[in-house]
Amino acid sequence: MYTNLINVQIIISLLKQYNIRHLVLSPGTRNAPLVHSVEGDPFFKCYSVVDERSAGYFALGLSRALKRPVCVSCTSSTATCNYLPAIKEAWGKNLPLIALTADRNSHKLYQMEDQMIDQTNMYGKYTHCSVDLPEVHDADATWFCTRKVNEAFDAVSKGPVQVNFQVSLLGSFNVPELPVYRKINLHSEIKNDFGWEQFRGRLLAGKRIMVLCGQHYPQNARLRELLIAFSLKYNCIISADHLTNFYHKDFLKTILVTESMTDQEFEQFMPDIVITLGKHIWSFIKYKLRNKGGEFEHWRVSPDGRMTDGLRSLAHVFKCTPEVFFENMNKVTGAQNDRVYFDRWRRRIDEVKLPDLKFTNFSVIRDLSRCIPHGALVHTTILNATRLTNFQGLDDSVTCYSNLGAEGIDGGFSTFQGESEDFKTGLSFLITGDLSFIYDMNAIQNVLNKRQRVLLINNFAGGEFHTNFSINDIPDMDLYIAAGHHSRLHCSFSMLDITYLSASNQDELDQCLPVFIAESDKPIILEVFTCAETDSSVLKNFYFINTKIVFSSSLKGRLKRIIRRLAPLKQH
Amino acid sequence: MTVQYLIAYYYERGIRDTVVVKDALSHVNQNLKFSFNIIEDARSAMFYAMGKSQTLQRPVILIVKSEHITNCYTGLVEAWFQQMPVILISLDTEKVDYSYLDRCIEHKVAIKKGRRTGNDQLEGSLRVPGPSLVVLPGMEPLSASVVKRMEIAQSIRSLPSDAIIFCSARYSESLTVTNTVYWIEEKDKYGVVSNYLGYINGYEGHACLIIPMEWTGLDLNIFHTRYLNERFKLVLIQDKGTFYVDIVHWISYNSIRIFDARSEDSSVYCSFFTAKQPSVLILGS
Repeated sequence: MYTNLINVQIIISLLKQYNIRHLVLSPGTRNAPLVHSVEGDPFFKCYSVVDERSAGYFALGLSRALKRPVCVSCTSSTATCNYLPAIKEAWGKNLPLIALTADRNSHKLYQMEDQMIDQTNMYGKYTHCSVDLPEVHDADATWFCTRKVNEAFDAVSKGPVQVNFQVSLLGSFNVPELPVYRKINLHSEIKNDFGWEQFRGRLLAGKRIMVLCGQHYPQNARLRELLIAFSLKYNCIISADHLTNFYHKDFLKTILVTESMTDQEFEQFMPDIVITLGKHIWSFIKYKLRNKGGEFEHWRVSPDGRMTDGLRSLAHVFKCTPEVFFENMNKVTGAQNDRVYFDRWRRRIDEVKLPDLKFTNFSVIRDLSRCIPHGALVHTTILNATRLTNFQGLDDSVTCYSNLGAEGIDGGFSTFQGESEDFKTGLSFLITGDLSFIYDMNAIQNVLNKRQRVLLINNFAGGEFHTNFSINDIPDMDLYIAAGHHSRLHCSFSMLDITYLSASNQDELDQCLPVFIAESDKPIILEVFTCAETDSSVLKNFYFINTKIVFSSSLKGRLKRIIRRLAPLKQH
Repeated sequence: MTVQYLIAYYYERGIRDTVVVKDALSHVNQNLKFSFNIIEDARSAMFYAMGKSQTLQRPVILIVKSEHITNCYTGLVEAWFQQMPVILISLDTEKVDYSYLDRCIEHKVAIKKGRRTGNDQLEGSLRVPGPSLVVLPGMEPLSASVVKRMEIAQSIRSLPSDAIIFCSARYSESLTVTNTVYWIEEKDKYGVVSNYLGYINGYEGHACLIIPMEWTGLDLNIFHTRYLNERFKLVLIQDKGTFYVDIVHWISYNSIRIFDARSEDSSVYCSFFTAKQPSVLILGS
């Protein structure tokens, strides 16, 4: 019988999957859920050594003889400190030692608790990885602990690691069969003889493969070609948006539908395998996938080799460039995409309709996108500017960028200037909102160049917040949440040697745009005035008319949601 | 700055109780006016210093070599909880990480090499209620002198040629064998018997451990174990002029057969390796 404590189950399940079977155990209460579970499992070979310092050294000798990782486990407090001398020696000799240190609930640290010291990262630089597992009471904590234990057990190939696990109530030994928790396979040594064949086989057997491209900058023609070749061979879709800077007629802009798709409808589009590449994925598709975590496999391709498990389904990490991965995946002959999965997505995306855009940030960005010239650079500030640009078509030669890593509102204008300085092959456009522009206003003192074009959409507030909250619920939203204001920003440009244009309606905009996109001997700033509340209602309406209701038993809840979406429309 | 300077600094301020881990003693000028408490095991020394500070109700100094400071961790944690002002002076004979100690010290002084300044920082160690750490950099590691003990080679003549030997680097000139030999440096002297016992539990062949008798004093509890087998062959060497506690009774109490070359003739060498039980061979000075 195994313990019912899930963090301990995760450790045991992964020990088995990593084929780590030797444990040197010291007496104690806190680690008893682990000890009693492994001593009854014939997979494990256990040793008892009382003094943890000696136990650490015993494990060191054992590991040296076996040439395999060995675990030590003890109860909380100074027991754990006693592993340090052996851990230091293991570190110096690159011996694989795993300290499984039991702990009490971290909330109780230094709160009159017996036998409790700070055990987090307690061996300093002498462990290659140190993780702290909370008690598990929900799926989030299971997810967290699973990844952390995977990280630690993978790192043990380099030397000692620590897995600290918190135990409050000691639980019961009432689990007859140990649940299997997900192993994350990190392929960090990818050489010429790497076993790509099995992965090609897995993909060929897959009916629905989703290649999810994250941010890429600049354009990468070679990788684009590899992706095209891949898309012809396997039953897949390639999901890309402007920020990935991959364009092809058969790459799908899933972002057009996933932002408004319900979880129920998404079920019809579920992949078997998701392959991610590149940097940040901004589209809500990742949350749709995350909500279905465990129902597909996630393969992550990245030279950083990190176990980034944002889709809650990470199974393989390929520590290599996407070029290496796709080159090897493409080494199949005769395979052809049957396009079943592809067509399902394609049809859905083709159905996307635009509502009446009125004169809003949505319509302004649409109008500009239509005329952004060949070879231009487009930098969008976060949220609406990035989102609405992604909903538009752009010329294939345009390069897009946004500060999506940490997705801060600050610094957009400055980043744009830095990029544009050396981008000499075409015009460079900044698409920004008023708040984000005001944040980074100091940048107007920086040297501007004549190739720069700034589209400043001023809706006198943080429009995002008008979308996230309803003004019906929070009537004074503009006071603080959306930081409403009455400033027309042209006054800040009066000292600059620039051309300033402005538009408050469609006619004015139509007149401005040809000037804005034409060659000029000065940088141009175009300030367009819209209304935040109208902007957000049009965006909500765009989502609304593209949401398909898939009926199920919980109809009531869904109807409620529809009514909530309709609420802001009624106001206008 | 030297250890002497530090000791004098604290001496002038009324702190005259100093505990020294034995192997750090050679770094300390013993012509000082007062005596030290000398302790073999750094873990024990840390607790000892705390206990002393407890009774005296004043700061106590503990001097340890940095390579063994990991052993002070557990006592330091307790001293921090008890808020006992132990001043831990680490002689930086080996570059080590101290970052993890931040959780159990109240004050840290990292003395810059070659500078005499730092008194104001040292004062901090007198002001705080709990333990503090003073790191004295650039101390030359004093390597233990190589001891020529020709009877070692003689004693292991009957060792199978495929046996692995773990041997203190102290006897590197005393061993002329074709076996695979792993030399154990002084810095790794803690836990060697435990380490060896773990090894023979994971290794099917023969392996033998040759160490100075005094190293067992760092690892005594391991003789109380379930994992002895007939391949357990430990050679303990009593070096001249070294202090040791005779542990023969403790070892034999744990069902280990003792072969004592101090009192028996050289035929013990043969029977030591052939004996079908865990055995310890003791070579006298």
